Amino acid sequence: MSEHLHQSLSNLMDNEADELELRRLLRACDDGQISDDQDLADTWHRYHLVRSVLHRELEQESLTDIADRVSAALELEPAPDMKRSWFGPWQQRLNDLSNTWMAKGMIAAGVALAVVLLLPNPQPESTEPQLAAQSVPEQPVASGTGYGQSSLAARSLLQATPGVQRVSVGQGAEGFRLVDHQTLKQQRLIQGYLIQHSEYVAASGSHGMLPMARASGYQTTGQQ
Amino acid sequence: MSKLIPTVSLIGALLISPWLRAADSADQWLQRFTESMHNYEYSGVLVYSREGQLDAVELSHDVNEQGEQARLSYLDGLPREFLHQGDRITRKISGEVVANDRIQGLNPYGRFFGDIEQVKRYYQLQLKGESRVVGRPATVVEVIPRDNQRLGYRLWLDQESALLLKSVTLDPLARELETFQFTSFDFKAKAKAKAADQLPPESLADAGLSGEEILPWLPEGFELFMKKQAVQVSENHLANMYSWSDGVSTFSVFIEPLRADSLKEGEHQYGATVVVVRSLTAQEQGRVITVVGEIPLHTAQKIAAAF
Repeated sequence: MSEHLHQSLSNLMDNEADELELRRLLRACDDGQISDDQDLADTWHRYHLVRSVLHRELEQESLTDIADRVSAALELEPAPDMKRSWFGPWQQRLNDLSNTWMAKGMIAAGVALAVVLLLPNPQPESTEPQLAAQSVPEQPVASGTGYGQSSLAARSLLQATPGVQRVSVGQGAEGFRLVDHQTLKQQRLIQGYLIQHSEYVAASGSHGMLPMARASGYQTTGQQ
Repeated sequence: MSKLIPTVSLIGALLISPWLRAADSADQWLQRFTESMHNYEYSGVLVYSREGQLDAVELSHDVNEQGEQARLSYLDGLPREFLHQGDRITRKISGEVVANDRIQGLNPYGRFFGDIEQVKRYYQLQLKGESRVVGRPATVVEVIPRDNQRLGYRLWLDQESALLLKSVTLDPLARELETFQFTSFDFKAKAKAKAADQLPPESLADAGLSGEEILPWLPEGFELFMKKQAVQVSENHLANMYSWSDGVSTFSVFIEPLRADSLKEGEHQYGATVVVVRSLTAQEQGRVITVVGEIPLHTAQKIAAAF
């Protein structure tokens, strides 16, 4: 189960998760655990952190430095020496591990499809609604409204901008929000320009003071 | 004798014209709207909606010898206030003053569609019948752009006072971008306005400053009306600000040195307001150009791209 969840999660990262997978992930989020020690939301958060660092989206120079240094170090790294037999098994094991990871990534879509097609979608046990997607009255998945609603939720998740994100997992966890620090910082800065502009439009435009009402909207977007 | 007839009829027309004012063209409604700002003080609660977001603002407005007095109090979110007194602007958050500023330069066309003839060069004015807003009968006037470099507006003017009750901003394809509307409205006629209210606005264009020197490309009909050095856009960002107006629509351009924490290149749209950010590399003096305004996105893009 945990394997499947990991696959679904990485599909979701690649925007390739379908609605069934998303539902399963959200349900797992509610249950809180995918294995004994790993919280699904934390895993999701880490995936995003890794991607942000690799794509240099995270605006922390120290982190970018690390990314640079790691890739530089990787280039300098000598090819694994197979002759050292006593390290052989370990290296083999390491290789296996990385292979499975890569394989996971590469055939993610295919496997996910198979998983979805072959595994029966477990019916929800608890209908305690905590997330938007699940506040829909539980219905057979194939029914029209159920699909429509969950696809909406899926879209909002999938379209979220990449970056550091935490997914709200209901009241159980600390109530994380979809927050992208860099976007937020940019938004605050944009507000400054918008407010300056509005003041002058209000003071000399054709609509009297009405344009200043716009500034209200700019500021509330930042607060949310 | 033959000369006398046109003269007499002209004088007659001039005498009669004030009486015809109540009935009327879109031009006359806008003219009345312009003057109404000086003849009434008004207050009310205004809602502003864009893209499914709704905000309420309490607004009061008056014009007297000291100039314009306005107070806006945002009813949603943080308790914020915006005060406009003459050429001074004050912003408050939770009662504390966070910004105090002087407005420099005025719209060359005067306020509120001051020069209707100028406006008509770039917009078509049409009456769109009658309607009812905030429980009051209103006349609908549509301000339609003649080219695709500006936005259109649909205005609901109070039939008694000609004050603006509702305004919808339309993109070049006449899709609604944002709406302002009073949900409660109160006005009071003032003693007859003095001639001083009609001060000829001070234009920067007269001071030998032209928009072309700052902008490589300027959409037709826009004139620079404001120029300000080192405007504080955030705690640690200063930018030179320039504003242009065609008498109805306005846009501003901010120019500042490129820094690590400057805005990233991109485009944003908030209701009718677009923001286009472009950074110029070191070879081009390392600057960030930010175009902000109520203009179509493609116009803002073109302004930014011309640098």
